[in-house]
Order: sequence, then structure tokens, then C-alpha cells
Amino acid sequence: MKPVPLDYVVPSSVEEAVAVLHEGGGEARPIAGGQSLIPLLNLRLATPATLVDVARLPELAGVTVGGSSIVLGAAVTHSDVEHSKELARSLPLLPFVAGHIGHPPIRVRGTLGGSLAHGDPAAEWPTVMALLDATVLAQGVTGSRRISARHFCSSFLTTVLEPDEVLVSIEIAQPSHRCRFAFSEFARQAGAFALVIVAAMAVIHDGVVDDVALGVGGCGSTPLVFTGDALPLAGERLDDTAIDETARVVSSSVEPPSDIHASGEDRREIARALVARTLRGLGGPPPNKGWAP
Amino acid sequence: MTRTYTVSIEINGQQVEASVEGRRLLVDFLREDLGLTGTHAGCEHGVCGSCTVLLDGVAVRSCLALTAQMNGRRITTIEGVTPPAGLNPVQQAFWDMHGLQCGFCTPGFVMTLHALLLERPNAHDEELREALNGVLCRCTGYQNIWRAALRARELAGVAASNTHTEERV
Repeated sequence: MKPVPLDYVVPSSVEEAVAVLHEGGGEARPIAGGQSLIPLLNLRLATPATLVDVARLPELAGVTVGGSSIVLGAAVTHSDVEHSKELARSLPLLPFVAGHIGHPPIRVRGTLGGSLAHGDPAAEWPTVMALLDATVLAQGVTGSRRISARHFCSSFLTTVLEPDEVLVSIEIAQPSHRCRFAFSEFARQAGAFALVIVAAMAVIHDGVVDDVALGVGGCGSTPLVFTGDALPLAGERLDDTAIDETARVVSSSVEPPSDIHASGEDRREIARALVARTLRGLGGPPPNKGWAP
Repeated sequence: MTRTYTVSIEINGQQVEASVEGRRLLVDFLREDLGLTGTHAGCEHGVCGSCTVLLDGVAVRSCLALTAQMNGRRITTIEGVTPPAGLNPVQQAFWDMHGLQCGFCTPGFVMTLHALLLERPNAHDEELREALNGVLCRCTGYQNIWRAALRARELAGVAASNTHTEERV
């Protein structure tokens, strides 16, 4: 199948992009790499009248690593993140996660902003940015606003972005150097869409989990974040008992969807195993080590 | 009357000017407007890899690119890497190792390996696997494709060291 007839506009600034989107009255959509959007166009699950190309807008470009925060332009590709030497130094979780997205031809075109705006709860960036409590910067006709990544996805493939808004950048507060991360995903083939995604971050002191948060994707209509007291292993030693109990509690509290790829119960079992595996991955030597494969 | 857009795209070394609809996919532009039918449309949602072409030297899915987005860019298709007579080293490897049956996926594999080995002639096994992962084959069961990839790397390594020899002279 082919997309419906549509207009294609290349604005030269975010202001111009916003104006075109606003004029489009909900029938105009932004396009960046198109790796999530064009499949929808080809299957006619999306039928916009106008596409507004934001891939080359200067405001959406670049990776900036400051002292206390990292700012990623929305048009930064997954491949840019995967190969960024700056990010490998300052937050290696991000290049590690980026390398899990699809296949290389998808990664050189697909963008961080596009993935977030697409709002798939079983995608890597919505889950990881929610875990990191990142801030999304969006610009619309009424101006700019900052949106917490934990409240960015409102439902399946739906975000809180207004039709005239362009996602400009994502800001991540530089985590403590004592923070450890782990990430894993389960898919039936490497590179296929993940069924369940788990990302974890924790500060571990003398073998005791001081501070912990867990991001889970694919188990609800939005990514889910579990923090502090919701997790049995908070304040406990990072051992099998605490890990397995946490995996049990998390997997029994979610209501994963059923579809042609897996039943809800299958996803629940996968989530339980993946949470345990990911938490075990936190146990590696610091700092920023302990990747779950 | 649907709006059309003028594009100027370098395709296999030649500058091509055309007028295309906004929705025209690159794979269809190549196949139907330019008659370059070596690039195949398998799934039209990016997962099968048979539409793989090079964009500025890097492997991408032509079924997930609007032709209008390609204005000013450089595209290489399977026709662009095939010599006038005979086969290029990656194609020769597929021939030697019987890495194809119906051939539908073959341009996808050849373009993927061509791009990888051009940049990394000594790519590790893991890098080869990662690259091959992105193309699906329904005929062969992949064993001979893997052998072809190893053979292609061997030939690429020879080519790379030949180049260095020439540079020293």
C-alpha cells in the first residue's frame, strides 16, 4: 500500500514549522527520520494532509554535555547517540540503549524526538527517558513548554503534544557518578519490536540499594516507572531474594496488553524474568557499569 | 491536481532531476520512475531489508524514505555497485558460496555488506551478524549467506591491503 496524497513542506525554523502545523488544523504532522511514521503512512494508519519536515531544523540538532545536564536535540539520530564519544563518557547508558533500536539502517534515519513523539510504550526511548525523569522541550504557537518525560505519553501511541507543537530537545539531569544503570529488552528476534523493555538505575552503597528506579516498557499503554518504596529492594542488599521479590511485585502489578505477538500473561512472565535479569545487571563494578545483556 | 515537488538527486553517480508527489516513496521512484528494478519492495514497513540502498554511502531503507526528502542527496543502488561485466567482490562471494536462491533479498544483503565492508573491511563477526540481521531471506535458511558474508570480508580485506600496497608504492 502507498500513502495518501499529501503535501510536503520543509520549513527553515521551528517558528515556521509551528506556523504550518497550526495552519494545518490537526491534519499536518511533523516528520523527521520517518522510520516510525512512514510505515504508518504506507499502511494508511496515518493519513495526514501535510508533512512538515523537521529533520534538518538547526534548533533540533546536536548533543550538548554540560556540567549538570545533557541536552539532546530532537533530530539527533539513534546512530548519533550510539556513536557519540561525549555520551559514552558522560552517560554510557544512552549509546548502549541506542544500539538496541531496530537495525543500523533504521538507526541512521530514526530520531530520538521522533521516537518520543510516536509514543510507543514498547520503545526504548520513551521507557528510558521516563526512567531518567528527562524533560522534553516543546514549542507551539503559544510558546515553549517543558514536559516531564514521565508524563509525556498519555496513552498508546499518544503523547501530550498539541497538533501545532514541535518537540525541540530533551534535557537529562546528569545523574550522580555513583549511579549504576542496567538495560535489557526481550524480542523474538534481534532488532524486532521489543515485547518488554526494562531499564534500571540505582545507587548502591556497601552492597545496599540506597536509591532505585525502574522503567518498564511494553506492559501498559504508556511506559511505567517504579520508584523507591514501590520496589522491595529499596534499602535492602542487592541479593537474589530482594531481586526476585521485586520482579514478582512489579510483574504482578502490571496489566500488559495481549496481541498477535504475545498474550498479556506471556508479557507478564517475560517482564518478571527481565526485571530480575536487569536488576542483577546493576551488581557490576561501578561506575556506570553492570550492563544487563 | 496533486502538488508535485522538484528534486535533484545524484543516483549512481548521475544527477537526476524529477517532479514527484510528496508521498512518492524512494523505492517506487527508483523502480518505476527510473527503471532501476534491482531494489525490491518486500514489506513496505522497514523490516525485510530488500529495499536497502545507500544514502550518502550509508545503508538505509528506501521504503521508508520519501523521494522529496532525498533532494540534494546521493543515492547508490545495486545497479550502481555492479560492474559493467562480471560481479563485484560481495556479489562474487554470494556466487561462490551459493548465498541466494530466488534472489529477492540478495540486493538487500549485497548493499548492506558493501556499505559495511567499505567502511570496515575487517569488520568483526558480531558486526557482520548485526548487519545481516537487518535483511530477511525466505529461501536459503541463512547458512550460505553467512558463508558469503565471511567470503566477502575475506575479499574486502584483500582489496584493502592491495590499496595500501599501492599507496606505499
